Amino acid sequence: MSPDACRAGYRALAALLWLAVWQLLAMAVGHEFLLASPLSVLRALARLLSQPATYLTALRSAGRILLGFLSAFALGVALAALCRRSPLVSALVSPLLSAARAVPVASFAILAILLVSSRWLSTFVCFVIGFPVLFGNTLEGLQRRDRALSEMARVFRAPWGRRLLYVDLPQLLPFLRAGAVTALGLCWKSGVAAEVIGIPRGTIGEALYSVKVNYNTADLFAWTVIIVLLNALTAFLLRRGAALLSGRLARL
Amino acid sequence: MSAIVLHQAGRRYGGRWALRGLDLRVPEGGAVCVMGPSGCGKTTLLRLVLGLERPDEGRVEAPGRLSAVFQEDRLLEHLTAEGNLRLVTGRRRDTAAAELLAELGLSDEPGKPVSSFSGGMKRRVAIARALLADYDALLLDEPFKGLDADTRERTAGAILRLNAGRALLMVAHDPGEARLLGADIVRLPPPAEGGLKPAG
Repeated sequence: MSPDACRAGYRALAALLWLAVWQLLAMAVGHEFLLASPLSVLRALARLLSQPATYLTALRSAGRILLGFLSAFALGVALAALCRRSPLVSALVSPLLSAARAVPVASFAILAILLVSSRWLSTFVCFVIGFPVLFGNTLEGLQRRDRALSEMARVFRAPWGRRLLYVDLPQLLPFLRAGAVTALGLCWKSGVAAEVIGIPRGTIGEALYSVKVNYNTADLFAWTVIIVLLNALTAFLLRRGAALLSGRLARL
Repeated sequence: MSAIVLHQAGRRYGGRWALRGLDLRVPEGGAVCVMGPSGCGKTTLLRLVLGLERPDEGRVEAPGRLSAVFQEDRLLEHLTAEGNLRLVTGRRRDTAAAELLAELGLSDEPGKPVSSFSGGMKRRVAIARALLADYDALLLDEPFKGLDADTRERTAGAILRLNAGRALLMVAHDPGEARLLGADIVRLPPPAEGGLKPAG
């Protein structure tokens, strides 16, 4: 058996083991509303996936969460570039970043409900949570650029756009990719949490809130699976996009 | 008329002078090779001319458009040889780039990133990049490092042909390299001594 097949076998065995543990725990608890069994969760997931409303709900939440993520990406990269150039901007941004890193999601979410509509709450929270990660990674990438290559591009008077594509972006890309994948995961977690607090209509957060009210752990786990799958799908698309860009940059 | 002029130029790092009281002129179409022991300020001199450092005393005059082969190759390792040249030329000189790479013996490596090249091949890519840029004066820091005798001659031929009529300032350890490019030799004194000793 090849090492890859062996590893896959171990992984499948571990998954089966934990499913069995879950099943035994569910049987020990004996109340579906407290801890649903794997089979009940599978049934709930199948039911949710057969309803068109589930897809609309997922799309609505995904759109708002991804908007927050993309805003954080754009502003994080732009502000990191500004901070690299200007110590004054860097000093101005520093306290805001410390606050964004330290303040709990719930505090932001409650403040945001007072300031903006609960509809855009998840977008706001995702921005606040994703921004420090993307800013920090971009700044680190900019600081770690090879100074000798920057000097070389300067001596040859390479135009701004070409310098970005040939010299800067290939060095920055690994930092952007790592930051984006981390921030995306955090955005999904905090975005859905914000929806549960704000309960905007027709979102995953609202669905989770009604699950809590109805003591329906099978639906809770089924929605959780959907969130995890959405996170995995968007992370996959992000990685694929970064790989395509990296390949394109290597063929300049 | 001189393309490159250094007048009593000096550069200090911390409390130590890397270069001091240097007078040097490279005329348009002329070639000068600066030689001297390690640490005497040869690379500092090139950095001053390239505008990468400012002199702490004296004056440095150089054309606005310079080209250079650095002591290290400073190539974009993820790109092909052609890609490295395009940083400087864009796509408008792809034909000239292909011809020059062929002349330097690098035409057998299409599609391969320069990270897979040998030291000598990387050096030739760095030289081709410098020669294809739009410039008025060329600066070379040990340009033939890592090249065998035949390749040196072939590369020197390309430099002489493409740099004709423009100023050349180079740094080398081997007087033979200066002779290959027809450069006048100027010797810098060891770090502890002062003044500049022009070679006979």
